[in-house]
Amino acid sequence: MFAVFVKIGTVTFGGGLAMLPILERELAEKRKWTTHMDLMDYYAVSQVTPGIIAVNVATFLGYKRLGIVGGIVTTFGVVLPSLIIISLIAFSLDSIAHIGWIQKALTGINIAVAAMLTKIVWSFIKNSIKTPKNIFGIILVLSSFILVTVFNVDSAFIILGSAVCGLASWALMQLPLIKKTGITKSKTREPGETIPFSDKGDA
Amino acid sequence: MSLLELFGIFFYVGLFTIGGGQVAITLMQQVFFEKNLITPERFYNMVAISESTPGPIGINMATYIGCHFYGFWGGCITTFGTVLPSLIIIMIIASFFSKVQEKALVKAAFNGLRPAVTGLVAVAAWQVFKIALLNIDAYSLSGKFLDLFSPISIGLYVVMLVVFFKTKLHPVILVLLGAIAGIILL
Repeated sequence: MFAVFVKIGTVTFGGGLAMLPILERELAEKRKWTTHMDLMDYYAVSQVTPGIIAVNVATFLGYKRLGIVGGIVTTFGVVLPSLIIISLIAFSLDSIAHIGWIQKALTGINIAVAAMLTKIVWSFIKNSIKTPKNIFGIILVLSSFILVTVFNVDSAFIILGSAVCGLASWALMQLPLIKKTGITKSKTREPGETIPFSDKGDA
Repeated sequence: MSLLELFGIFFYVGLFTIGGGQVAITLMQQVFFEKNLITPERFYNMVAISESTPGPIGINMATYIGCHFYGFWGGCITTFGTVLPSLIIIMIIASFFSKVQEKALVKAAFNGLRPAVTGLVAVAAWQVFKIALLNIDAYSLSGKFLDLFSPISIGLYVVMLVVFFKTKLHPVILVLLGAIAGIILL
């Protein structure tokens, strides 16, 4: 697990969300240590709890698999590349990062990361459109994107707000008025409730 | 500044960073500018390097500032200070997370959270996209819409997108290919 997280730390450029494509591939697809759904939940929790998101997700995944030792191991794995690389740069008087060909390589890497994230976003959107009547989810995806990029809203508020939206739609469902009309439960469900997670609960 | 003080500062940064590395950088900026410990030019230089090297930005910055004051071990101390709050808090949450995960209220909350996280991932994608593919400096200088795009970068992006969608290529390989293509083409 330590080695896997060292690898993940090495190929993560930018923030914790840029780590997601690699986590998906390494932990969900290849090793089946976690699922796509659980990863999303860990990210949501990591956004609203103190700490660097990438570290929070690493700790979460490590703890889930191997307890306290696992959490410590994955955390140190994910920060080790930073420690080594930044120390080297700090000692070489910062000159490395300004060399022409290294800057070109870093720009090329950014383009690769942009392509990777585009695919991840596409697969997320596909998942939320696949389930019919999921207007609730699509509205949340769009509004959280617009609120952050256009209105500079703090992502912690987005997370808290969307949790409230989820609870509100659930509360609406519980209203006795809707229950009394005798329509079957699946028909009265809020659009957002068709996200796979709740389907599991109904079964 | 003593090592212990440095550790304390970064524990504070780790504890009050909610929502990602950018927040951590703002906190560090407040602490180190107020006390005139690092010059602004030096600080922004550090931010630029932290953004373009492997690893989460917040951790890169913590390591960098630690190295600035106390060399390699300083970097270890600041990094440890930054991750310690995460270690403690996340482990506490993770220990009861699976118990509450199945509760109706928690499920309802996560039904709202998942699409929002998707939106935030889209934000991260957009930010990388902006840095990597849009030449905003040239555009604001000339005002010409076409200056916003570099044909080679866009071409490279499209090729990588096709490769990543069509093949099962590992992300690490794609990152390496990006580096090589950048050196040769850009």
